[in-house]
Order: sequence, then C-alpha cells, then structure tokens
Amino acid sequence: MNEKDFSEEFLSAFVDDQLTAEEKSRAYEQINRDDSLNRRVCELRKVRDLVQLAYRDVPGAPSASGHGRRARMSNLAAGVLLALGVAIGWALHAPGDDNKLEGASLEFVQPDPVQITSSQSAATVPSEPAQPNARRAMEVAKAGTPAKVLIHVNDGEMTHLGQALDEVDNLARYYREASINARIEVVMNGDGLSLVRADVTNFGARIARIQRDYDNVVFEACKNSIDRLRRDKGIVAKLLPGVVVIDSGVAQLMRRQNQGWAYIQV
Amino acid sequence: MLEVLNLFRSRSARSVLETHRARLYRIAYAWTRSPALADDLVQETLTKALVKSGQLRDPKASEAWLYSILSNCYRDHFRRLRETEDVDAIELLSDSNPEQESSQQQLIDKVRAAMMRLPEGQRQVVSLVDIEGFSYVEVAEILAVPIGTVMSRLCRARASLKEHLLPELRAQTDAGEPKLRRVK
Amino acid sequence: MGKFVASMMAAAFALGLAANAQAAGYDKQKVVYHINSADTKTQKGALRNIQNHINAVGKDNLDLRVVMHGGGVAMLQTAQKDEDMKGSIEKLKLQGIHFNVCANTLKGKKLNYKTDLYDVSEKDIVPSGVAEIAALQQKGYVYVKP
Repeated sequence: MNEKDFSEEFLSAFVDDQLTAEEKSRAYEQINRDDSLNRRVCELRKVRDLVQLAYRDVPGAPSASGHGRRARMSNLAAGVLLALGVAIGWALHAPGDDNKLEGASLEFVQPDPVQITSSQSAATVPSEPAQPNARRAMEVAKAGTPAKVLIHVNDGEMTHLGQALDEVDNLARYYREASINARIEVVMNGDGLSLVRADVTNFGARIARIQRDYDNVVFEACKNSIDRLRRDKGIVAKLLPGVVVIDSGVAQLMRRQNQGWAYIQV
Repeated sequence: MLEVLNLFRSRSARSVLETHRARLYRIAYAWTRSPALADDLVQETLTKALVKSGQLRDPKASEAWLYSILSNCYRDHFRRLRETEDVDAIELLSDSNPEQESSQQQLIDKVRAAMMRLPEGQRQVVSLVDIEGFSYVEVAEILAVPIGTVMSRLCRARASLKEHLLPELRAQTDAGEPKLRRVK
Repeated sequence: MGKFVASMMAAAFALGLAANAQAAGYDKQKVVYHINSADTKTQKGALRNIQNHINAVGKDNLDLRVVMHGGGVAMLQTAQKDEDMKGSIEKLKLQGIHFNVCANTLKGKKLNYKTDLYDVSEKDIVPSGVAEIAALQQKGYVYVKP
C-alpha cells in the first residue's frame, strides 16, 4: 500500500467527504501514516481554502437591508419575490422521507501535533488504485436539502459538556427517526476541547457510541486552541479516536454560516 | 396552495429569500465575475423559480433544484455573452492600484483570475463544491451531468488551480505553520 | 394547465398581501432565544434580555420564540413557585412572545407538562428543542444565546 494507490479523484472525494464510511476510515488511516499522501491531501485542502477565501466577500453582493438595486425594485417585484420566498421556504422545509443519512464533512488538516489513536486494525491492502465508489455515493445521497447543524462547544464545565452530548444525541436521533437527511458537526475550541481530550474527558465511551451509531455526526477540534494549550500550559492534547482537527473553530463557524448551516451554542 | 397562503400570512418570507439571494449571487459572481451579470442572473433565477414553484408537487424539492435553475439561466443567456469578454481585460482591472491593495486582496484577485482561466464546466463544479459545499450528487443534479463528469472536472480544476497558485500555496506553508512531525 | 393557473393566482394573491405588508412597513424581525441552562439567575437574565429586545424593537415588529430544552425547562418549573418569574413570563406572553418546550427533555426528565410546568399547552411542545432551533434558523430566524 503506497501513495500511488490513491488517485486524485479519491483524495478529492476524501477532502469533500464524499466517500462511504468504510472508504473514509481506510483512507484516514493511510493518510495518517503516509507523508506524501498527507501532503497531497493538504494541498487539495489549501486549494479549496483559497477558493473559499476568494469568494467569501464578493463585490456588489446584495445586502439584507435592501439598498442599491434591490431598493429600486418596484413593490410589485418585491411582492413576487416575497411570495417566492414562502413557496421556497415551505418546499425546502418539509422533511424528506429518505432513510439514509448523508455523511458529515471531514476537514482533514494534519495529524500532528495531536496524537490521534485509532482502535481499528491495520487497513487491508487494495489490489488496484482506490477510486471513490460513485455508485455507492449515489445510493447514499438522497434528494432534499439536508438539515445542517453546527454545535459549538467552547465551555469546559463538565455538566455543560454532558448537556452538549445530550443535545447531539437527541438531535441525531430525532433526524433519524423523522427520516430527515442531516449533517451535524460538533466544533470544540477553547475550554470545550476537554470534551474530546482523551486524558481528561469523562465522555470517551459515550462519544465513541455516538460515532458508531451515527455516521453523519463529526467531532472537530480547533487547532489554534490545541496549539495555545501547548504554548500556555505545556499540555500536548491527546484526542479521542475519530476526532478531526480543523484549522480554526471560528473560521469553521463562519464558513458553515456562509453555507447556510444552523448554529447552536452550548 | 391554500397552505402556502396561510403560511405567508403567518410569517414574513423575506429572510428566507435573502439567504438564498446572497448565496445564489455568490455563485453567479464566481461564474461570471461581473456584479451586473450576476445580479441579472439571480433575478432571472428567482423569477423563474416562482413560476415553477407552482409545479412543485414534491416537498422534497431541494436547494439543488433552485441552483439548477441558476445553471440553466447561465447556460442560456450568459455563456454567449461571456465568450466575447476578454479575460486579460478582467485581470487588468483588478491589477489597477496594486500598491493600495492589501496582500490578501491581491491573493484573492489571483485566485479569481485563476478561476476565470478554467473551462466553464470546471469552474462551475469547483465553485459549487468549494463555496456552497454541495455533494457530488447534488452538483450532478444542478449541472445535469453524470457524477463521473463532476468528479473528473473537479480534479482537473483543482490541478489547474494548484498549478497556477503554487507560489501562493508555498507562501502559505512557509508562513509559520508547524513542521510535519511523524505521529507514532 | 390548471395547476399553473392556480399557482399564478396564488402568486398574485400573495403579491397583494405583500404589497399591503410593504406599504404598512410590516417586516418582523425574527429571533429565536435558546435557553438550556438550569441556573435561575441565568434564566432571569435571559427574560430581562428579551424584554430589552422588545423595548428596543417594538413588540409589533418582533416574532420572537423562546425554545427551552435540557436544563432550561427548569425555568417553567421554577415559575410555578416563583411569583417574580411567573410575572415576567406572563408579561412576555402578553407581548406576543412564544415559549416552546422540548418533548425529548420532558420525556428524559419525566415531566408532566400539565402539572409540573407553568402554563404550557400541547401546541407549545416541539419534538426536539435543538432541531426546532436549527429549523427556525433555516427559516431565517436569528439565533441568540443569552
């Protein structure tokens, strides 16, 4: 198993979280171990970040207060659009009757300085270059806009952390029972990091269960917070298995809000 | 239909619309790089969507549906216009006042220029995936192409962008990111 | 064809409503307040924030929902005995504020909404508080965590 066994399409799909759960965990392991794979993934992510940066603020963007061109619209046109908004809002809000949940988005940065342990055994060696399973991806993804929710944990108090997990659990279960396509990201920064630090958390087993039961929930730890912990307190955080390290919790919050995600703070 | 009217009476739809308008605009801008064209494109999309929404029997109608209307409008009207524009002229505009622009704005201009150099199909795919976070299946639906086409266009787009932006990528790496350390 | 005509008529009717609404400057600000803390002081602070919000914007310009789940449900338990809190909530309700309670939380804490909580009717209950907050945001409600 070497880095040539992963095609660019596979790595792209990994970066965009378009792989099946099985492909994802296999890729995750290999990328952790192989520097050149790691580098290719990082480069893909950087290109994606640059594109997002370039269009975060665009000139001539319509403002919510309705200045400029929109304000010059006649009442008639405005009324038409209001009615449209209702129709769209109504149409987009009815829960779908899909019964398979979309995978959450993995933002893979670098495996260090955090040690990521994995309870899985070594990945099997594929006999040919890994291609993303497009047919399987098509079966998994369904029609209907997924509910997209980002849960922000930045408080380290144990009761609050427990509550946060209650919220994640309830939310994931609600969507599953209502057959609503959903993606849930739990972003931890600041003191909230203790939720996923293997050495201090009380919730390791519970998080493992949530990860096992729901493949549309992902836990993400903020790299800036991890670095700050090391700088200020000399602690090298060890994360629970399956927790993804993202560049910055705050940047992720903004990214997701720009993509229309709901935001909940614990 | 009566339900729609009742819903309208009970809550204002403006914020819902604003969310979609701003996001549609961002994609339209990424495709055309012209605020005026993007505005027209979004306007036409929302108007067409209103007409078609009466035919929305399926409550599962998705954002992909709305963006596919955007894609059709773009294809029908603006591709012809776009082909007559001079890419270099656009770059020239953004390069005016290089000293006054912050280095981040220069970076942004470089990325946008690199995007405009992409063949249209590639640019559409990469903007839908990177900016809006659509899944490959949704992008296939929006652009009415097979999912294999989505994946290959995306890869080619990213490879081109990487090539054009390599100095910028390297600069980002050198600028204080921690060195890779082996994880045991 | 029939469906198309119906939709155009519906659009025209909605248009009329919209034109009137626009003329009246009717464009409510939509806000959802998220309460999940069991701490009475925090809860009372939140109720004060909401009153300040109404004072700032005007009750006719506001569509404000309060969603309580987890520890936040205790606010309505406390209100049964705490006259001060009961009064605040009453006053807010009179100004058009909606209070919603999470069914999951009721089940988890084995609460009877009729007897354990102050002034909750069946229509105030949502299946999942967090899902409701997410759904409201996607309908354009602004999220506030006091």
